[in-house]
Amino acid sequence: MSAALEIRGLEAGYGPLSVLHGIDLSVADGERVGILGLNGHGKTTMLRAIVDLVDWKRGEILLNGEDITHATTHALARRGVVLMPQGDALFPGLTVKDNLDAGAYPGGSWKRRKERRDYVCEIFPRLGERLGQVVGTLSGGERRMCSIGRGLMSEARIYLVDEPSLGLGPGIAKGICDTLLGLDLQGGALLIAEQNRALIDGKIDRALRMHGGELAPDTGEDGGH
Amino acid sequence: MPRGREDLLHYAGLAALFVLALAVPFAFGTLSILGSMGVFLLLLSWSISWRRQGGDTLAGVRDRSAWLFWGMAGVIAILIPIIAGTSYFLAVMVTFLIYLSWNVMWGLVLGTAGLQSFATVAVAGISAYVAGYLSVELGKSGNLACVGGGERILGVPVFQWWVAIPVAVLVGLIVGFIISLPAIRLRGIYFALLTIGLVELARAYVVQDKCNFGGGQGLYGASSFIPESIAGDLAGYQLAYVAAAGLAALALIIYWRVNYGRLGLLLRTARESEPVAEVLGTDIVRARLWVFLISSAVLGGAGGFYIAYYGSISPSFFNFSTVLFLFSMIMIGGINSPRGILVGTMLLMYVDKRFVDVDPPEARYVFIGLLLFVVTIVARDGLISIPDQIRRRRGVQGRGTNPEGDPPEDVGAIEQEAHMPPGSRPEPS
Amino acid sequence: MTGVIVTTINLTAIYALVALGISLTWSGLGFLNLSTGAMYAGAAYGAWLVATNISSNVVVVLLGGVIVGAALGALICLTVFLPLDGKPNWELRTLTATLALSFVGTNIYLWQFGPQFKQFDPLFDFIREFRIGETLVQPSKTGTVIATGILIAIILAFISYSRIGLGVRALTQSVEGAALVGINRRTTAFAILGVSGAFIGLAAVLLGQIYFVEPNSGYSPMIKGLIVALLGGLGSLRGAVIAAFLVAFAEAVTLQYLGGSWVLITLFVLIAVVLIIRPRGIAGVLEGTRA
Repeated sequence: MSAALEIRGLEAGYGPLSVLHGIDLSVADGERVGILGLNGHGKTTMLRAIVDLVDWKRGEILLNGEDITHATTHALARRGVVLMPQGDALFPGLTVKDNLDAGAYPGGSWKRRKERRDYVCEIFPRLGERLGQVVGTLSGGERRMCSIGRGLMSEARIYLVDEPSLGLGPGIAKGICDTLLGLDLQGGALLIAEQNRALIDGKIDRALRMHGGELAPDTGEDGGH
Repeated sequence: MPRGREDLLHYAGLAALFVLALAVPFAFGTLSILGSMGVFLLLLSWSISWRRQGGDTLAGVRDRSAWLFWGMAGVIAILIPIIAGTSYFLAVMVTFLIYLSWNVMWGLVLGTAGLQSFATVAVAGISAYVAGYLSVELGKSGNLACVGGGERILGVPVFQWWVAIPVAVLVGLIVGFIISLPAIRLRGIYFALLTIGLVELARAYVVQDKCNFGGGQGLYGASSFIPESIAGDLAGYQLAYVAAAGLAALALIIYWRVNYGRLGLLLRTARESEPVAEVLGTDIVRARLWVFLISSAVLGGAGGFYIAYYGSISPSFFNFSTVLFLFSMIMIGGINSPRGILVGTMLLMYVDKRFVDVDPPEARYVFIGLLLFVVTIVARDGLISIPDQIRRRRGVQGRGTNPEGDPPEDVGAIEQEAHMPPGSRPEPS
Repeated sequence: MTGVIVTTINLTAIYALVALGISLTWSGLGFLNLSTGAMYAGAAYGAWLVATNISSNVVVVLLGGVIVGAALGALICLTVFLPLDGKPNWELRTLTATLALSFVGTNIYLWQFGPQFKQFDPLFDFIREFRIGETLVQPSKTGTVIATGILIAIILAFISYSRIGLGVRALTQSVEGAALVGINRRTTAFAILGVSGAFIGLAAVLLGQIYFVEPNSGYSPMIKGLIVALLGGLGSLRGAVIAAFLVAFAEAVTLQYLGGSWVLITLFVLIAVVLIIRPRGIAGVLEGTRA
């Protein structure tokens, strides 16, 4: 059986800068994998390299055994690789409802967008209360919920989550991480990058450390703190 | 200079090309020398930048082979009146040299200063108009509508051309100063529109003002630097050619002084490095304005030269098609290099004159438009930059999967990762 | 004074159309379409051909202009946007390429149709003229406002409620976000430029009721559309409508009291003043966020 996501010898960077130095990683169907590590060591670059948002990359990326190394970002979204990025990348001038619906843009999901929206609102009731509000006026925590909610609008093969706690107060961050990691993803795998070990400890199947652009097994220590 | 066989072959090839280019006018008429020399200079520049070793990515760094290109350009400038010294062709060359001096100054503004200004024609034209106004001899050969009443706005006496040109420089400086005021606040496209508007405004005004600027007919009968005894003769055109060549050379020298001087260095560094640009914020704005002012003063002088050569000017000077024609020249050649501007101006001048009586007349413009379009789509920075582009593409392909090495879509988001290069991996405690 | 107001409303409708076309392209795809003028003239010729060869029915002629405009928009997408998307020096190159195409287009019209003026038969004859106070409101003006209203309503509905429409709106907000949810910028670009072209095409037919059609007839509406779009702040649709009103008002007053040749001069003074006070126009906030 082929893994949901398989990465072999991935190198990537921006311009003359090389950030990742040979990443090997395999995520099985329905598996939840955490990537721990300090800022600046390549967690974000790895997730962005998977969805083709870096300057250049080398190596191989497979989705269910199919080569997706050279697929474009929007094509990957249609094939079920969903990134919930750092900084959210929401549409600030559109309403919460439109932002969520955009998450269901790929053909198949569009017809079931209402159903999915209700599901997301059930997970994050705060969003349900603010469906008509313009996203630019939301608080940081609500925006993060919206970003995650948008990702959940389609049934992905793998969800890539980039630092869901970034910029949020500890209480809110914990709430959001708990909710996200408590979900039944209906067979979808999850790859989450997080700096704060406590937020994801115990809620994932296994963890890895990103250090200096290389992945290593997690030692269970919080390096750097 | 040649070292080894490869170099020898290289220079022999170039020499053969040059002889070929020299032979073209004997076969296809004097005008074609402009085209053949344009192509020769383009190939010469390509061969120079293709052979330049190492990754000289900082565009415009003075390199040793520059002397070869400009030496050849100088030789060509001297050969032209000898080989193709007809009155008609010299007249074409004078127009070409005037355009060249404008374009070089425009390149300074667009390339070095990075200001998207279309005001070139406005600055040159307003200066030319004012100089013309001051040097049109009332009642004698001039045509101003209020002759007799003597109602010129300033009531100033008539000047000779050698007074009018310095005045034009001053006018250029003043107009440039006025235009540069909004440039401090407006960015890119807004400034472009404002300056396009200024050209239109200048045209609308001179059409309105029959009394001072002759309305739709324009001004004529201004004082000319060509003595009346030889005006219209071959000698007159030879004199004009020498003077215009001097003007173009002056413009080029000023380009170098600015582009490779302190101002240019500052602006180039800022373009290469974002942090430098931030630290030097106000200095950069000031440097831009200085470049703009310098180029405006030269443009004013070139406008004065225009009126002192032709003796006349009409509102069609400000037509949008003039702007477009000049713009095509520098964009096809390449705005970031004086070589590109020279080559572009030569090639388009040739195309324009060669097909002047083609039927239908629109075909010529369609051709020029398509040429501009194709060059823009294919080359990132004009024809002259093609070798650099090919080399860069190869270089990047060797390393990553992205063939053009384009910037990522959202630079802001990668900033956090990129700030810490992998070389400086922090040690875990 | 009522005359000024009637003219203002009429011109507001037309300038808003052109400015919306320019603004939508800018905010959705990040380039300034300087071939707007050539698209305008092309749509006007297209509608004129429809009117003289097929039918002079008002709906048919208007649709002709809208469709030709949209097709020209798609052509710009094919020839300028797709080849240059993601390439270095993007801003200056798109500007130059669209400028070059406009030059080509204008000369092709001149070649094909000659410099003579073409005139539309009145399209809105079936509307009765009426008076407001002492001012006569011509059918063409009433028709312009109604037709503009209908097209804007249709396109607004398309943009607000359809899937592609959501894609367009998402793209104007965040390029990266749009890619992440699976919106293909390159195919959506056709929708954006098509809609822009439709706006411009309608404006061309409507203004063709007042002015003649000739190869360069798009230049002045384009300049005014640019003024309006910049004044409103590029990317802001509401700003564009407000600015269209301001510009139309300034033009109507100038026409009434100073004469036609002063119009552009007044407008440039207006835009210079507004931009110097507010460098990003009435509502523009997108300019700063686009690199």
